Amino acid sequence: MIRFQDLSIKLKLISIQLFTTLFILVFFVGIYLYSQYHQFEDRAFSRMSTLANVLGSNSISALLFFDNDAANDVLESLETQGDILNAVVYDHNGELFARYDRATHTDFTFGDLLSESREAGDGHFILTKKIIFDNLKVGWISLRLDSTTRRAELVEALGQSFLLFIAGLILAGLLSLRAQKPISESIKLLADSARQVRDSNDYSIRVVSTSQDEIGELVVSFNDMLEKIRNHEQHLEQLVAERTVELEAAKTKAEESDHLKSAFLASMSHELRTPLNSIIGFTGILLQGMAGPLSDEQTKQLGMVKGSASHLLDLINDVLDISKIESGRIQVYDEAFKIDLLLVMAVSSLRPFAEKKGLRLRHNITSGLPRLHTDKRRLEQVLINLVNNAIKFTDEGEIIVNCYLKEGSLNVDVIDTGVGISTKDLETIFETFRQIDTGLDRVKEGSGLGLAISKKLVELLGGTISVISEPGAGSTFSIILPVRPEELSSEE
Amino acid sequence: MKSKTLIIEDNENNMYLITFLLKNSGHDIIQAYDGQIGVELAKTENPDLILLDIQLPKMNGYEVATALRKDASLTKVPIVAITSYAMPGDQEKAIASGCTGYIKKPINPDTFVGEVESYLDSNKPD
Repeated sequence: MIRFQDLSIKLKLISIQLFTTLFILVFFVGIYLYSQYHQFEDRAFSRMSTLANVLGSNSISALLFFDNDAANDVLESLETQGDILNAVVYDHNGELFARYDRATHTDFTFGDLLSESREAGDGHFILTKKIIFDNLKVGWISLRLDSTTRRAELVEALGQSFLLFIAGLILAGLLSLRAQKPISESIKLLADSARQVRDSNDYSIRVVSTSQDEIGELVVSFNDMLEKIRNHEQHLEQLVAERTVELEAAKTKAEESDHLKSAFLASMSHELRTPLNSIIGFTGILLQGMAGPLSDEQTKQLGMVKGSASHLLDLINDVLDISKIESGRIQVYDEAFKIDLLLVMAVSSLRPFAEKKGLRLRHNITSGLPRLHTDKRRLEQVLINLVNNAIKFTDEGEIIVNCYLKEGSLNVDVIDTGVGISTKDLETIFETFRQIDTGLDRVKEGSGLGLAISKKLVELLGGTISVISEPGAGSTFSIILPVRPEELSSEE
Repeated sequence: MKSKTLIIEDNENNMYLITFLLKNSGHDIIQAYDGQIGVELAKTENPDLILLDIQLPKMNGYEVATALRKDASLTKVPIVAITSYAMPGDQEKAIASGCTGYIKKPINPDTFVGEVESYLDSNKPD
């Protein structure tokens, strides 16, 4: 079922106008027909009264001279009045004086009519009037009129009204079709434009206003709104463009300064190594006795120079390493290798230093370990750093390096029996330039970057590093490295 | 083993150091303090080995190596870069420009001569 509010504005306007017209037409046609029906009786009696007056006065002389034939002649003139069925004239005593009957209506008998009256009967009207001469009643006249034409007349009027009705409706329809156009079309135009804006996001579209009514106002507001949106959009675009330019400039600047930083680090590293090359080189030559024999004191002091130079070199290397890692410039290679040999070599290279301090350094490697896919050299750097630290901070006992597979990952634990680390220091031990105050000779301590570098390198290799320790109870540093699933299955 | 080694190095102390170590082991030394002179000396002296610093005035080590390899008489001579190993890729660049190998700076006086001689050995079978 279609509801009125769902109709288009065009149909709404047309139907409102048609219904209004229909209502008015029905109202007036009804009144017209009603009055038409009721006036029929009045008009009929008025005509009969006129006829009676004329016929009555024409019959006066016939009544006065008792001339029935003359009266009948007078009544005969009713032939021209098609709807008068019967007519009678009585003398002043009420005796029938003359009679007229239209063909086929001869059998009608007037009743007692000796008084002036009008009677609307079944299918006929009857009028009775006195005939007056010189203020004297000389007789009576009665006319009977056929009222059956009333219905026919009504039907005829109804037919005319119906034609009028149809003509009115057609006219109203045509008029409303034209009249609704400016309203419905401007609304439709507005609606179409709004849809077009929505679909195309083109805010430069404008609707042309054709009127100054409420719809015209709506069009103006609509256009203003679009203008505002377009301005806002252009403002935003401009803003974005400006910000993009600024960001690009900032990015270029950042890249430049990053580049400068790297160049600075490279050249600083070179500049620092060049004199260090001479220091370490000549110290070595002197210590080897190549330039002549040395006293014990000279040998001892040159050894200190050599140690300090080596420490300085470590510092330079560590600073360079951490800079490279932090700026993401470090290259990580991916090669497949067995960790067993790498671990044995690293431990062996450090064993002399451990033995010099009277420490035992041993390793414990599970057999049948899977191959690793990672940067061999970086892993070696981390292992050497951890074992070196263990040797550095352990005065007696032993250092054990355990290597085993656990939960699909490779674990390397470096366990020492050294001084241990306090809870407070454990929190910051992997941060850059953090050193624990152990009261040991600082020259032997390194740069304070070793663990920070180790942590970053292990993370770069996709692994994790952690520490468990208590002051006086030694420390355990653990590395966990990922192993490719296919290597796990192939080994087992 | 006695050989003729060309050292291309701009730092006087380092030149003295390397020269001292190699002379001490009985090698003949030719010295060049910049890349350009190094290339000229290499062509005229026909050395058995070239030790090449990378950061040099006039021509850097990579350019020197490239230039040397273009000379028909110098295609086989071992060129060993002495690199300060500052940035990743330095060594790869040295090899790519024609060097036979590299020795990390600062040099270790205990092992330096042995390392240098290993490059001479590898060239001997030729």
